[in-house]
Amino acid sequence: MARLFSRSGRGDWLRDLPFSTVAFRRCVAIHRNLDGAVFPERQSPEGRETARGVALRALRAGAAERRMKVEELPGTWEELRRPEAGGVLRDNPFEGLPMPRDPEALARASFATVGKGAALAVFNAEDHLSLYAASNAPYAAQWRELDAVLAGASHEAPFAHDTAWGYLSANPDHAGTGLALSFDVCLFGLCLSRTLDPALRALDRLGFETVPTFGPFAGDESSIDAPGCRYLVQSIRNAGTERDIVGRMDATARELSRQEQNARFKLLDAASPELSDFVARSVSAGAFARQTGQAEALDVALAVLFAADLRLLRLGARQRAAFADLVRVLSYAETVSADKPADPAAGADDRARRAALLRPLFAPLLPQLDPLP
Amino acid sequence: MQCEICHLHPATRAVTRKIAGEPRELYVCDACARTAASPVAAADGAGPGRDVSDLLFSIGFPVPASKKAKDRICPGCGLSRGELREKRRFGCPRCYETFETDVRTFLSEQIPAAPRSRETPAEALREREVAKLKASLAKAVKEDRYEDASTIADRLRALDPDGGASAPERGDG
Ligand SMILES: [Zn+2]
Ligand SMILES: [Zn+2]
Repeated sequence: MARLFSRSGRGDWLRDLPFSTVAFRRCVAIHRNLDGAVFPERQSPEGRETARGVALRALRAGAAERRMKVEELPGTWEELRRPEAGGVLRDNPFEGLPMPRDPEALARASFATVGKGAALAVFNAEDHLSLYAASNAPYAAQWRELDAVLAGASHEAPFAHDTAWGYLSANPDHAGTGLALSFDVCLFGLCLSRTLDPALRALDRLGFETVPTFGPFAGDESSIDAPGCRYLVQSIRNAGTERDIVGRMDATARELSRQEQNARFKLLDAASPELSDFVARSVSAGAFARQTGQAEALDVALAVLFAADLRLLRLGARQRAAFADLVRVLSYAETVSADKPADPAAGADDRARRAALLRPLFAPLLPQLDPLP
Repeated sequence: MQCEICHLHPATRAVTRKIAGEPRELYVCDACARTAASPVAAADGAGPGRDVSDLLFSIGFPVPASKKAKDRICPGCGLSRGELREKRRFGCPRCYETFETDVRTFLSEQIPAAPRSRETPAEALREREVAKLKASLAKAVKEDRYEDASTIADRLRALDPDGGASAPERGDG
């Protein structure tokens, strides 16, 4: 228990926001490939190893120009994420990044951190080099830093680029600017006020992909009983310059947060019975949990923070920190699509363990629920 | 007969390469013989003369035989059009020339009309250019060269759309 809730300097991305439960992370990824090389998937293992060496050297050079260090991380993505194995990535904000969905690509990748966890470098997944940054800082700031590192790196080893198509990648979605942006949002307000669908449709029209996110550990069940308020919004249209794309994404994140906050205020103003029902349900689900899936645990934990934001629940500073940590720990998983086949037998231990984790946090909140008349 | 790799040029020679462990003869043009020789030779056996670029270009598996005459194959990495369409993944930078129409299709799936571009090589360069333009704008205004100033201002706007001219963001008060 104490281990799971250890303090971490990097957990602040969650607490920094006044509405900590709306948009809780912005992620920037930039993908590059070495000039004159076959893309990783079609390289021989020794070709890939050479590519990794070249890309790593270039990255070190680029990072050094920005006075940052590159530290290689030993192990696979799975190993790095596993808390039991002292997961190196545990205290970094890289949980749940939109990594390649191709398991083979992820399995052959290797990793490094840049600037003490300011960015994560991934070698030879779909691309020779991908840089990820994730925090709640605006996209523009995050992108500028990564771009500068890559500009430095390109002096050491040029990246595959074409005047017509921009930067080249095995994945056509990465071609052009090589930029991929995403943010996590928790849209309880829109969901409860039944205005989520128009918001999601608007995002779709604007060229964003919204993926419902759940955070199962490997083999965990999917989403069946989750309220479905948590989404990953990804930029899939890469038209224009990096600056356009980054600006558009910042504006979208801001606008969506604003709409969500308005929805929450409206629910509050109307003293919506759905709202108090939702909060009461979430607190009860946590307080009496016996078997809890990852997605459900995350949803009820976020619901408590949400209710606290709206002053429907009072949380002491330590309680608040504990819930924020809980969300952080639970978010620590990869994004899977909603149609991932569920294996009900898997992770039964996890479900009980998770429930045991929730109960002592949620039970003290029970007295705050309004008794029924 | 046409070259079995690019299907563009007449085949001028036969090359033998190992495909799935079996030696196979392919009829190829001069250009493909040259480009195809290096990756396949590199994949087959390591000679002492191999340098980094050989390794970077070395592909991990044999070039598949084309099933149909029309199934074009990338000379850089041996990816066939069929494979590309099935997996929606390119094999190497040369795939972008080889399968240009497919690139267009893939990219138009996600982009309506706008051009793709990048800021070369980095933000730093652009900022330097903006600073330079701002200085010459100030100079032009000072010297009453208003036509020049307006041209410079246009260039500045193109480079830095949200620099100074745009309305400041509203705070939450
Ligand atoms: Zn040919
Ligand atoms: Zn190719």
